Amino acid sequence: MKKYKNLILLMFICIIGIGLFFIKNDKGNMLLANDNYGNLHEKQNFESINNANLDTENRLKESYNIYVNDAFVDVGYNWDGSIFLPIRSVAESLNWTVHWIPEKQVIQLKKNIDEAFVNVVNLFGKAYIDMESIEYTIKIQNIEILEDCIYISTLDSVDWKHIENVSKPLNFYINDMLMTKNAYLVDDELYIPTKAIASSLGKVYRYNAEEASVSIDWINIDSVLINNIPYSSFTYLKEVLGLDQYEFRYDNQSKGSKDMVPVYKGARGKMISLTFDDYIDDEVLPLLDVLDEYNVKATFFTIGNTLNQNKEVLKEVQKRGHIIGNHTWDHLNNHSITEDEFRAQLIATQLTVQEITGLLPTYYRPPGGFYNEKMLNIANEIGLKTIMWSINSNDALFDSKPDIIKDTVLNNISDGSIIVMHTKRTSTIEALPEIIKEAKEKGYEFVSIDELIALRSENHENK
Amino acid sequence: MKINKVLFIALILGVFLVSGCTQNQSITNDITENSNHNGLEAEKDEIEYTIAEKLLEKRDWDVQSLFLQDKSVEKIGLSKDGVIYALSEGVIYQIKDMNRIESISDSSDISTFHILEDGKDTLIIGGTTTGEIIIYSTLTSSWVSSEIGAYRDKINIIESDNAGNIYVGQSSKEGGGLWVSKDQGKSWDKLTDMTVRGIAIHPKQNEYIYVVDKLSYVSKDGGKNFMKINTNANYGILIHPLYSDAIYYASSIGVDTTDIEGNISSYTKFFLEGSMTKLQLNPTNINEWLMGFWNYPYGKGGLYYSQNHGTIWTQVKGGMEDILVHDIAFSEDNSLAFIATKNNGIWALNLLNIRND
Repeated sequence: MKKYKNLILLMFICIIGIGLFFIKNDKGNMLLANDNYGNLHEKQNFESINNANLDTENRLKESYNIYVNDAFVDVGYNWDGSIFLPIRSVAESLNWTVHWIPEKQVIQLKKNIDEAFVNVVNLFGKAYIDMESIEYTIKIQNIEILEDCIYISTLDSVDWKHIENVSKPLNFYINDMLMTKNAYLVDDELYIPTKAIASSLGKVYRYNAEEASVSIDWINIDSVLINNIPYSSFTYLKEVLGLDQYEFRYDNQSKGSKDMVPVYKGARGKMISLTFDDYIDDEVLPLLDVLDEYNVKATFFTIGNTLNQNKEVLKEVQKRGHIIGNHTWDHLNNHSITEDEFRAQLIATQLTVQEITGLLPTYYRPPGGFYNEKMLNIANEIGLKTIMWSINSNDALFDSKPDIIKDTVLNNISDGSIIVMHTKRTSTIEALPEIIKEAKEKGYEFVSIDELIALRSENHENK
Repeated sequence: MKINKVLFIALILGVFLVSGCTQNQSITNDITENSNHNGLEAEKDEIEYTIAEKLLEKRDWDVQSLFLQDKSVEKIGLSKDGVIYALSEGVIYQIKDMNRIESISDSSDISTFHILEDGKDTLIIGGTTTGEIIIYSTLTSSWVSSEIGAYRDKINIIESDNAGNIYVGQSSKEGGGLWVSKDQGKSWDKLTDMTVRGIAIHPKQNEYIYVVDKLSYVSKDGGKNFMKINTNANYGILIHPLYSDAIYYASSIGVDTTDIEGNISSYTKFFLEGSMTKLQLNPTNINEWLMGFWNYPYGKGGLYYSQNHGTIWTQVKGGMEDILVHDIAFSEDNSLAFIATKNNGIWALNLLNIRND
């Protein structure tokens, strides 16, 4: 203990020094906020989103492109010395049926008479299992790691047809939204990645590695490999999939990145905005009723993949004056998907919302707040402004109670707050009336995100 | 101004707290130094104090880093006389007291082990990455090889029942099986060709054998026939030695419970972000559970403690945060638990303190 006395004394003096420094330089709430933050919650909110993004990128740094019988299927990662592979894409390519049991975080795999349950690691709804387990569970015959690639191969598989020596890649657009930067002209015929167009149209893409074939909505699609990715002729795809309602074009313009910034809050004024993320279905109707009762217009960032089953509810959201935003097609962690997959996640939701409501969303919220500069640019290329939040109501926590949600929002509200909440949660619906009433009593006006953004100062935008 | 004053006072208080922590830390450091001095040198004298006794000379600590600090320890077990056996990177270590850590295996290809005590001898049954079984006698300090006839792939699990019968499970893409030895590993019978990653034998009715691999099964006739159990939780199986009416099947984020016939009775979900890496029930208290939990994509997790049958979990703090737990063993008197971790060696958890927190 003696040997630490000097150290403790030294620390004590340092602390006193720091304390005196703060007192001397007191400019009001120095520790709690600086010019960019309305309060401590906003600061912590921003830092937590920022750190989560940095941590995730760091954890996904050691990645492996996975090829099954020559064709790229997905990306795996080295986590803590073990390599994890995405089970769905790998198993489905080898014709296993994959059934996700979310309440157990378990996946059921079936192929002919074989059946297995596997415990998975869950990255935002995408399931991974370690390479050793996947190898014996789905009976992979050969697996080889070469640098940052994993090659899985099966015996007796059909060989792919490859197109080599392709020219410079081209940009390919659907309804003016950049779908891929990797289209190719081969003998005057335009080839586009088969998965990119399938996913951008919200259709089911399957790769059958045993037969070297792909399908879209269970229709077999002729395809070849370009750079180990399945491609199909655009003319052929248009005919087979019946794509006359869409406008397509391509060009070879290089796309420079712009300094895009996400919006965390609105202008300095006593205006705030409510936003609701995730799925839209009948359970949203009571939430709409509460908002109607208090005459509040909100923004709903919707997940795309169930919208076609809930068209009437989506129309109802629009009819009641709320803004519909894009929350991607599958609500994946965007750091864990390829650039083309990310574009497809946005485009599929854009096209579906437009088809149902007639309006194309202009706002996008990244699931879980996961974004980086590249994603901001991609969203911008698709015509979407990235909207974050300055107040996390914490209503997505499994044990979140109405009182906690209410206190979290009301204690941290400030000028221009964008409040994130979630659909389909009774606690949120119960908390809302008090939140709206008390915020109004404090002099805040609830405005749509359109209005909040319009009032945003250029100065703040740049920050 | 007011807030800064409050913060200033809080910071001063922080200094005292830091000094308190520093005192706790010194325990760990002293132990580390001792371990390093004596390292892997085996000493032949008798054990004066068991590791648990030595650790509990001081009570005011929650966790301590003990041995093999920079190594990955995959499996840990304790003999009745308090000796720790640990599998680290293919090698089995015998740890008799705080200063005696000795590698006892000649090879470095051991994939799992099990401790079998028959009153006279303590046997360490080892399974290798090439499908072999080797047996170490602590009486003779020597290994013998045992012919089992498994595939040339890793042995996944070794268990024993309270009659001393040894069960070996193997699961590989080549195949696998379940073997039993009724003569302490001298000879083996293959019970089934089913691949096996987890085994539990009912402590009161030894003919009930539970195995898990891709699915879960129960045998009610000592392994002659197996019946599928209707659970998708197949990460591992646990049976409490005293309260053995319930069988626990672990999944990533919870446990299914069945009766001994394999009929599902309940499911407990753990509300934590990540996946289970190990679950252990206190052999004397059915409600006290320890669990390793790890969020692989984010590299977060550690050791978790529950006093209420897995309903509520508290993360164990004090240095074990964000350390991946591989295995957990309760000490004989249940005052401590020893934790095998990835890249951070073996830790001790002071259950006497944790229970009072």
